[in-house]
Amino acid sequence: MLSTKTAAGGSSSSGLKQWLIQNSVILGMIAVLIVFGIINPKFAAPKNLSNVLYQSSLLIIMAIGMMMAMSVKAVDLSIAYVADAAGLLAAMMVIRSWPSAAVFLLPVVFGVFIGLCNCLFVSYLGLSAIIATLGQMLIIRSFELMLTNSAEAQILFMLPPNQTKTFFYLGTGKLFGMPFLTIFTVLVIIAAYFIRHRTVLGREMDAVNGNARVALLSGVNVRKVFGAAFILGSVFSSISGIALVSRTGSAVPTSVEGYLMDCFVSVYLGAIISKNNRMTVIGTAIGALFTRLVSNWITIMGLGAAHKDIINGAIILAALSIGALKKQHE
Amino acid sequence: MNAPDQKTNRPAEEEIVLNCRGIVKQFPGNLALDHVDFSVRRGEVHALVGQNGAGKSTLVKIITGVYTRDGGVIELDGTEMPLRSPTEAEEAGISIIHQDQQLVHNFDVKRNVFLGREIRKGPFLDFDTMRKQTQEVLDMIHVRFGPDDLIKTLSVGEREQVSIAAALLQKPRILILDEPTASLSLKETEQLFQIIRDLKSQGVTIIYISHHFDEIFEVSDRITVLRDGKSIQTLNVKDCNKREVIEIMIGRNVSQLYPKKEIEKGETILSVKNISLRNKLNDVSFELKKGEIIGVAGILGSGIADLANVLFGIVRPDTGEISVYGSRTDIKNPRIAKQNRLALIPEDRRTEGFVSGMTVEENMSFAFAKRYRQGPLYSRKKGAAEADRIIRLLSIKTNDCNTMIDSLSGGNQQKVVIGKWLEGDSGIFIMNQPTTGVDVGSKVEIYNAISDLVADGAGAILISQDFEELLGMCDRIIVISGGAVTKIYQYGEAEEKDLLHYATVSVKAGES
Amino acid sequence: MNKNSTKLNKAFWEDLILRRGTMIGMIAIILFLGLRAPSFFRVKNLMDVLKQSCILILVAMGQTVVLVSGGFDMSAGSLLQLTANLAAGFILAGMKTPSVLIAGIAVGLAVGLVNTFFVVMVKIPAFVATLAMMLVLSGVTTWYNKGKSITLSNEPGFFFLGQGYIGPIPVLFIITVAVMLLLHVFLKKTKTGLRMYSVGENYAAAMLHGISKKKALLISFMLGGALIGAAGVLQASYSYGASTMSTTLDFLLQALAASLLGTTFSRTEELSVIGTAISALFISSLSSALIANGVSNLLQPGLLGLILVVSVMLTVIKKREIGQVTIF
Repeated sequence: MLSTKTAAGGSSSSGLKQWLIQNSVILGMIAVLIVFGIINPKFAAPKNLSNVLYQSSLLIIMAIGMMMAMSVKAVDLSIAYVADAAGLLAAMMVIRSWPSAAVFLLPVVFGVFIGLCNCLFVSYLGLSAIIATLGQMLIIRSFELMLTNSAEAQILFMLPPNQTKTFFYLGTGKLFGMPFLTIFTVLVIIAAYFIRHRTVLGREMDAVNGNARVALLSGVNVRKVFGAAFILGSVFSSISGIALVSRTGSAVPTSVEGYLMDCFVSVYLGAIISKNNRMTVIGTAIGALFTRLVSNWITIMGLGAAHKDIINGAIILAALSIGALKKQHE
Repeated sequence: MNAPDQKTNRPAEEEIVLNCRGIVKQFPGNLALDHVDFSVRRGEVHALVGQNGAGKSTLVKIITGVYTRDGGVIELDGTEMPLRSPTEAEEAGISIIHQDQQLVHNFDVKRNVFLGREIRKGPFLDFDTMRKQTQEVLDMIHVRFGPDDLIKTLSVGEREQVSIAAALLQKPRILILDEPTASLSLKETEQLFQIIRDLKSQGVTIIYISHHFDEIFEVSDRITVLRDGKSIQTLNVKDCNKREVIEIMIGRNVSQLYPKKEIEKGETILSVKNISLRNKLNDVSFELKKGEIIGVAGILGSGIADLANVLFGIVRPDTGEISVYGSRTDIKNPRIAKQNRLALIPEDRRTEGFVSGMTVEENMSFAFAKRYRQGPLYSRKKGAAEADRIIRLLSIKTNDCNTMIDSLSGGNQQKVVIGKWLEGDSGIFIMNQPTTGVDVGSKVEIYNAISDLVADGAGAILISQDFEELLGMCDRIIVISGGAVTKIYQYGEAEEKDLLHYATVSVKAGES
Repeated sequence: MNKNSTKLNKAFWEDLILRRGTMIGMIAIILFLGLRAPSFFRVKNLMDVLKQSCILILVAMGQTVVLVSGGFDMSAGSLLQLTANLAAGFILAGMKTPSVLIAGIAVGLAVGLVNTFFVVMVKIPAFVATLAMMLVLSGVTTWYNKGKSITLSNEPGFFFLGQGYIGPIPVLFIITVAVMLLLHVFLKKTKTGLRMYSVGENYAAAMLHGISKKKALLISFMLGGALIGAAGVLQASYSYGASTMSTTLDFLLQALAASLLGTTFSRTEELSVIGTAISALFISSLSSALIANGVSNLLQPGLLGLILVVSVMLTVIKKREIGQVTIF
C-alpha cells in the first residue's frame, strides 16, 4: 500500500509523506473510528455497526441530493424540507389508502416541482441561491403546516398492516437476508454516481462548476445545467423523505430540519476525501456514513444533542483545515 | 550576458538612474533571471521587450519589490537599494502601472487615487483635501472627468488615466508602464504619449513594457531585449528596426511569421447584413466564404469586440440579419450559435476561454461531450482519444491530456481553447484577438492552426487590433471605425498605415 | 428634441423604479397592510414594532459589517442565541447588567476571532467555516441551557435595556440608532472603513495598495461578533430570558436579505448600515403587519419568505449576469 513513487530527486520518505497527506482525511476518519471503538466496545459491535449502516441510508441519499447543487457552486438550503414534505405527502396518501404508485411517485413529482422553482428563481431570475432556497424553505414549511393543521404528526404504524405493507417494504423489508433499504441505497448511490460523473450532463456540470462563463461561451446551456442540479437534488431528497417515513412509520412535520447540517458535513467531508477536492457522490456517501457513525457513538456514550452539534461543527472545521493544508502541499 | 553598450565616459545628462547588475532569480525548477544587467538613464524612455517567459515581468517584479532577488545588485542614483517590499520600492520612487490596473468600481476617483495613502483630519478621512489634490494631478494629464466621478461611469481608458494619476501623486523617480495601451483608444494612446513626453521633460524616467513595436519605436529612446532570462542586447531606437528586434527576441531568423496559404474559396457560409447595435455597431455587412480568413481591423472601442458578441449570440443586434450556411438565423444565444456551427475564441482566455482547475482533456471535451456518448454515458476513452488527436494536430505542448491546463503556457492554453471547437464540426470560427499576450513563437503556431482550419473547409473571422497580423494572414480585411465599416481590402492591397487610417476615420455620430 | 426628452422620461422612470423601487415597494407594502388593519398604526403598536425590530436591525448590521470586507457569517443567528442564553444565566447567577453586557460582547469578539482564524489563517471559505461555527455555537448553547429555556423575572435594571422607555421612545431603539450612526461614521468616514470596503469590493486593487485582507476580515468578524454578542444580551433583556428557539436559519435569512436590500439605498449600490437598518425595520414590521392582518401562523412563514424573495429579486434583477448563480 505504501507508494514508492516519488518526485524527481525525492527520497522515499517524502513519498510516504506525500501519500499520507493525500489520504490524510480518510486515514484520519478511520483512526477516529478505531479510537471510538476502543473507548466504547459497544460501538464496534457488528450489530451496532450494521444498524448504523441501515439507518444512514436516509442521510446518504439526502446528502447526495445536496451535493448535486453544491457541485455546480450553488447551494440548496431547502433540501431538508423537501424531504420532510415529501415524506409527509407519502404518509398522508397512505393514510387515505391511495394507490402505491401514487404514494411513491407523487412526492417525487413534488420534488421535481420544487427543483423547478429553485431553478426559476436562481437560474432565470438571478436571485442568489442562498436567499432563494432559504425563502423556498419558509414557503414549504408554511405549506406543510397548512396541510397538517399545525404540525400534526401523521402516524402510520397504527394502521392495519395490509394498508401499509407495500409502503413499509421500502424501509423495513428484507431481500436476500439484507435490509431492502440498504440495497436500495446502494442502487441510488450507483445511479447518482453515473448521473453525476459519467454522463454528458455530468461533464457539463463540471464545466459550469469550474467556470460558468466559459461554459456559457462554449454553448453549454448553463441555465438548464443549474436547473438539472436543483431538480436532481430535490428528487434525491424527496426519495430520502419517503424512505424515512417508510422506515420510521410516521411523519412528523419539520422534523427533518436537523438533517440539513448533517448534509453539509457529509458533502464537505466527501469533497476533502476526493481527488482535487471536488465534490463527488461516493465521497459524499462516505461522508454521510461517517457522520452517522459519529452520531451513533455520541448517543452510545450518553452525550446529548449539544455534543453532536459541537462535534459535527468540529468535524467540518477539522476536515476542511486538513483539506486546505493538502492544497498547500500540492 | 552583459549588455555591450556601456561606455565609461559619458556626458552628465546620460547618467544612470537605475542600474541592475547580475540579477538572479531562481524558482523551483526554473531559472527565471540569469545574471541580468539592465541600466536605465535618467529622463529616458526605455523599452523592455521579450517574449512571454523571457523574464520581463520577473525583472520588473524585482525592481518593484514584489519578489526578492537571489543575486545581484540594484543601484538607484548610485545608492544600493535592497528593495525588499513593494512599499520600499514605492518609497524609493519607483511606481508601476499595471496592464489590468485594479480599481474599486464603486468608489469615486479620489478614493481610488488615495487608497492606501489616505489623508486624514483627526480620526476621519479628509475628503476635501483629497479632492483638491486629486484635481491637481488630474489636471496634469488633462482628463475629462473629476475627482468625484464614480469609476464605473468611466471608460476603460479613463480608468487607466486614474491609475496614472494615482502613481503621479507619488512624484515618482521611475515610472514603469506595463502594457499601458492594451485597453486604450487611439486618442487616449496619444494622450498617454504626451504625458510620457511631459514627464520626461520633468526628469522622470520611464520604463515601457510592450508588445506593440510601433509604440515602442514612436516613444522610446532605447530598447533592451530579454530572452530566456538573460539580457541579450540594448539598442538605440534610432539605430534599429522592428524586424531586427524581433529576431533578437526569438533568437532565430523569422522569415515566415505569417504562414499564409493559398486556399480555394468555396460558397458563402456566413452572410451578415445591416447589423446595428445601439451606438456600438452601425450597419455592418459582409460575407464569409468557405476557406476564407477575413480580418476585422479596428482599434479599441471601435466595435470589433461587439461584433464578435453579436455573431455569437451574446448580444442581440437591434436590426439586421445573419444567414448561416444559406439560411437566415436568429442567433439568440451562444448555444444556438454553436448549433449553427459557429465557434468563438474569446478575448480573455483566462476568464472566458478555458476552465482553470480542470485537465486539458476535460477542457476540450465538455463542449461537445454528446459526441462521445456510449449508450447513456459519456465514454472517457473516446474523449481521451479525441483529445490526444487534437493535441497532436495542434502541436500542443503538454505531457498528456490529463495535465492540468493551468500548467501550460499561454499559447498552448489558447490552442486548447481552439481545440475544444474542433471536437464538434464547427465551420465558422470567430476569433476575438486570439494572439493577445501570446509570445511570438506560439503566435506562429496559432496562425498555422488557423490556416489548417480553413484549409479543411472552415471559415475564420479574425478580429484584431494587431494590423500587421491581419495583413499577414487575411484574404480580406474589413476595417471598422466607430462601429461602421469604413473600408474593405483584399490581401496585399494595403499597408499598416492604410488600415490605421481607416480605423481612425471619424464616422458621423449617427442615430440610435 | 422630442426624442431626447422622451428618452429622458423613460430613463427617469426606469431609474426611479429600479433604484428607488425597493424603497417605494417597502413603503407601499407596509402602508397597504397597515391600512387594512388600522390598529397597526396606533402609536403604542408602532413603538412595539420598533422595539421588536431592533434585535434584527442589530444583527443585520452585524452581518453587513462582515459582508463589507467580503466575508460571510452563517453563525450570526446561533451566536445571538448563545449570548442571550449566557446573559440570562449570568443575570440569574447575580451578575450585574453592565458586566453581563461586557461578557456578551467579549463572547462575540472571541467568536469573531475564531471565525477569522479559520477563514484567514486556515483559508477555509467563509460560508463553510461560519456554518461549522454555527453548529458548534448551537451545540454549546444547548449544552449550557440543557435544552430548557431560561426565564427571568424581577430584574428591573436589566429589563430597562430591552423594555424600558425614555419618554415615549424605547431605550432599545435609542441604542440601536446610536450604534447605527457610529457604524455609519466608522465605515464611511474613516480610513479603516474605506479599506474594508476596498477589500470586499476588489481585493486585487486593495492588495496593490498594500492593504491587508487579513486585517480587514479580522476587524469585520470581530466587530460583527461584538455587535451580535451585545444584541444577544439585549435580546435576553427584551424577551425576559432566553428561549429554546432552534431555527436560527430564518433569522439569518432576514438579516441577509436586509443587508442586500440595504444596498439599494446607496448611490453607489454599496452595502450601508443605514440601508440595512431601514430594510431590517421593514422586514420586521412586515411580520407584525401580517399578524395584524390576521394572517395565520401557518401562512406567515411562507408569505414572509415569498415577499423576501420577491423584494431581493427586484434588487438583483438589474445586476444579474449569467453564471452568477453561485453561493453569493
